[in-house]
Amino acid sequence: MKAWKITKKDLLLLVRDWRTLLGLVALPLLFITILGLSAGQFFSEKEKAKKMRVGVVNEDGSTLADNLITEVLKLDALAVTELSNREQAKDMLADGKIEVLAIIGPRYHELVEKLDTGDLFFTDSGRLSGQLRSLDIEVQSGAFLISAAEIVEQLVFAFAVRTIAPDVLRAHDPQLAVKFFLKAKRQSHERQAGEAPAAVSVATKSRGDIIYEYLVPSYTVMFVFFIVQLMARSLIGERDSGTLNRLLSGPVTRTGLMVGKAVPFLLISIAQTIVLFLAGKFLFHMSWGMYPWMLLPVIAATSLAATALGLMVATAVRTDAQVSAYGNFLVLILAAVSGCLMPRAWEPELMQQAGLVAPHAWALIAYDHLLSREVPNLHVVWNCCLALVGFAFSFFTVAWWRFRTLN
Amino acid sequence: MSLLEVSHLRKAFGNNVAIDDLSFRVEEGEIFGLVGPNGAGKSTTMMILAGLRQADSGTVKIAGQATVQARHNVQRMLGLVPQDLAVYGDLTARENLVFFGEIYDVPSKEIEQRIERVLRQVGLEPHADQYVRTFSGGMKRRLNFGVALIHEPRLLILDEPTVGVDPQSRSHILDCVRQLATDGVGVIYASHYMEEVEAVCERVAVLDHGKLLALGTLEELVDTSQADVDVRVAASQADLKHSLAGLANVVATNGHESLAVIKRERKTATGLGTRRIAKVVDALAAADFEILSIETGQQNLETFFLERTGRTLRD
Repeated sequence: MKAWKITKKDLLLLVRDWRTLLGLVALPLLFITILGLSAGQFFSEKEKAKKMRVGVVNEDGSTLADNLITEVLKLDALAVTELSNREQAKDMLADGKIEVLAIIGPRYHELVEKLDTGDLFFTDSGRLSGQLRSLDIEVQSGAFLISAAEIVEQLVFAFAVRTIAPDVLRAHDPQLAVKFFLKAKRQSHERQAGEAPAAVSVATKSRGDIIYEYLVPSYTVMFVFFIVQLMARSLIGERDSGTLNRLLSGPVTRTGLMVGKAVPFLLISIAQTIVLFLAGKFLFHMSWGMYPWMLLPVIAATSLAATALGLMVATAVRTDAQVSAYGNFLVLILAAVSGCLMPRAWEPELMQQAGLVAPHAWALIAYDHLLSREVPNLHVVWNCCLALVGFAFSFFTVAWWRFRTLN
Repeated sequence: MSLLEVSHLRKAFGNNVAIDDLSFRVEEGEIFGLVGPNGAGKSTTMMILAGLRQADSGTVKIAGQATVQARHNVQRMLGLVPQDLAVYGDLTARENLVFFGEIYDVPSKEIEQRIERVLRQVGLEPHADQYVRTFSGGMKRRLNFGVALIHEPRLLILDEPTVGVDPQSRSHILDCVRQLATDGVGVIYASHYMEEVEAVCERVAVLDHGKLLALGTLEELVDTSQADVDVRVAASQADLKHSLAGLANVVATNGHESLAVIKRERKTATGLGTRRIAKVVDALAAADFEILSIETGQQNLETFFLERTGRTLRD
């Protein structure tokens, strides 16, 4: 009961310090928004999902070259812009206005006309063994997208072969061309006559969904652990003002006082996460996954670990300045190690394993299962919750042991 | 049975003995002064009494109950007024009193009545619903004092309760302390202000280096029937020492003047005794030294304290 009185008092003090509470929600929201914008997303504007910008210069001007560009334009993943000349295109590439540049050289149609049927089937050894170079096509990329240029190069080559194949066949093997044409027509007719397959609506996730499904939980977890500073400051403040001694000289136990001090911050932390997830859903159209109710134990366990860490830090530091220094250091390092700043999947295996020393990592694994996977493994999620509670218990035990040195 | 019985208390921090074999008693309605220079062991003693530290050995009993064994009961009898302003600035005076009242299990039926009484006692009635952070230093100090009264303790521990307050607030707090003692509350009053201790305490303990140097009533400690006599003489220290050997201590004031201090001349019904003074005056006349002035010093708690603990600066 004494713990509840302390909780009530601290909640009142926290509510009166509304600017700090606002920061707990506003700061992560701002971070998520800025990072979302940096990733090319703005709130729910999924239709503006970022595409790779490709500039095409057609120096050949033939129908064959036009056909190739028409094919490339059909690819939804690329934002293709036709450019008038090579110099302008190179400037745009240098300025970062396009990421990849494809130049169809003036000899394209001439080189296509020299191809025969064998070159189409044996691209590794025939006249097409030089791939795009064999067709006088050049692909260049900006410094940060070298591997993307390779992908574009392969795509353009595939489209080129597709667009030139009918012409090459007609020119060198008309009978085979007719045979292929009739077969393709018959198959098309059979498909139309047969029972039409039921339209299957495949719910695919937009790039926006995926980004926010990473950003919202990652930065929420990171900022939930900023409660460590508030928590530690509150306890250090009690010690410095003498109210801690006053309370301990009264009928309040050490455990009661620690629980009483921790619960308000636990509640604030849970509320902070819920607000951020609501913002994630309604502002950023983030999915809550197949089992939204399972988010609650993860949120509670994460906040519990963060609050207990706050208690531990409070009993380890001596001054308010140390709370800032060590609190920030701890929160940022743990966030970096655990994968809050960079997706865990991008980290090497060793780093992913090392990250498990931080409670953040367990929270992120649980959120990854619940938010990003079509069928989450609830067993893994519950294990993560248990691990987080284990962290909380360990932090609380160390804090309880260290607490006697606080006064 | 005394309200507080401290018996052979000892506490050491490593090799540093903070309290060494300390024993004293405080009765109901008594104001007991605890004085000592910095590092004397006052704070450690008060922390042990308040249950904030454990003694290495010895016992503390409040109303016959050992604080270690019956901590829960004993804590309700104790009121602590720390030297720090141990109140919440972002709560109002009333909210502070409600919070600490609830912590001490003051029945909800009584709490309003008690709050009004405490606010009246410490003179904060008009400011009950103001945030404490807006209070002056004196008001905060009075609230700090009032918070310790909300659960009606039987023993009040005051650690420098008037540090940094205006004379009006100090006087008010001292009046409150006297009134509490009249109502039967035992008070331990620790302060560096000797005149305050003299003004409110009946008995005083002088601590230094963890040891009890003196314990008694003010009359027992400060023998006001004795006083030093200072004779200022126009003579060098060396000449005066030669002439007054065995009669007075000689202190140089400057190159041409010296001070002859006649220690603890006993007062008589009509004034200071003159036997030793007369001898000094005779010796000075014989040496043909000019007497510039004769003054008597006043013996009080501060002079007693400085005599016992020395004038060396403490950190």
